[in-house]
Amino acid sequence: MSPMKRPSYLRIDALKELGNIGSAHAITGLSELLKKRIDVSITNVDIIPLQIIYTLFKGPESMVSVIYLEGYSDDFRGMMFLIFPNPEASKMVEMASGKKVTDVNSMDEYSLSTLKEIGNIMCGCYLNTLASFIGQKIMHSIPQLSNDMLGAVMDSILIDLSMESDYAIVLETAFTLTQSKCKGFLFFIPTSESINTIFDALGVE
Amino acid sequence: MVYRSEAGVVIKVGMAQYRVGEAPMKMMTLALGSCIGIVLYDQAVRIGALAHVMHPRRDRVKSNANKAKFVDTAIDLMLSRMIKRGADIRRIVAKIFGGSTMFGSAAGGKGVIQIGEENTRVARLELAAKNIPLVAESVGGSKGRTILFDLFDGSVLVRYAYGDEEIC
Repeated sequence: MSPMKRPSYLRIDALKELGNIGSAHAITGLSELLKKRIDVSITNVDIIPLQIIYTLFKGPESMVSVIYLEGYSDDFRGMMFLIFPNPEASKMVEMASGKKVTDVNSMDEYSLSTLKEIGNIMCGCYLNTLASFIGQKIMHSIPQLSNDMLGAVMDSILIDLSMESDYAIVLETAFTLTQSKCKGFLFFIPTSESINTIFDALGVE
Repeated sequence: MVYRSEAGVVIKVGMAQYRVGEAPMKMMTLALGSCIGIVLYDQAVRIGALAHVMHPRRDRVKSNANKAKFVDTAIDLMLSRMIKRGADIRRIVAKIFGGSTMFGSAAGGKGVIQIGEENTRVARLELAAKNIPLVAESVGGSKGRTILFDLFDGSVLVRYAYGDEEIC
């Protein structure tokens, strides 16, 4: 294990603020799409061992829907993913498209792309906010979706990160739809080089 | 993590870890996606090992202190520990699990997301190079797998998301 150097509290605070603003835009995006009120519980920023993400859920075997995309510019790269524990994902599809989904496992194309679109809007809003902060245009890949065990879905993402380190700076936001109590989690993980790009842009020593 | 159940002692092997043990123990690793679960087993002495590896080769990765993270070095580690305990390399057989592609390849993702296939390929190569017969495998596809390895008979129960099961 090779722990990263922990950023100063000032830097952590700056990241937290960035996370707050980014997720506020992301959640506004979702709220406009669904025409529903959404409560944001917390934005957390920390350096954590990558495996810890599992403890937010009921372990690596818990069934989830993960929408994943990657943002990149000249000297920035970061991963974003939106996680809905099941059966929340089917409720989201119902709210967004009015279509009933009985089984997450056998979603049709239309429902799948509704979920992807939710990910697209939320992650896109988040990255746009970030882009205006660092003064660069951030492009992002098209969203990819997987409905499976959390551990299995995450490992393909974590493998990429773990090439550099077994730890990562993770910006996590948990949100709940006010009426239906639907829960979701939005994660942003910048690569270690991108962190410096962000700090430079924010002017944090 | 060790816990006791009706099934006896079950050892949980986490990501980038490996364990060596003997019957009547069982070992499990949860939710393999692109990662590979490598099972080695010597039936005569009922000694076995299970590793949950993430990357194909150690020399390609910067953060490489933990040898159990890589296909090539994890196999070496497991073999030497098994032989120390009394297994014979001529009797050891292997099974591999996982190596899925969790996200579709069409969607502009970088090659990294296809690491599952590379893990599988290197695992087969490394085992062949060491003359360890690969007697069973359940690899590829786009589904996650949880495996339970019984060191009494070397059987492996593969459980998929949504409850499908098979024995390899």
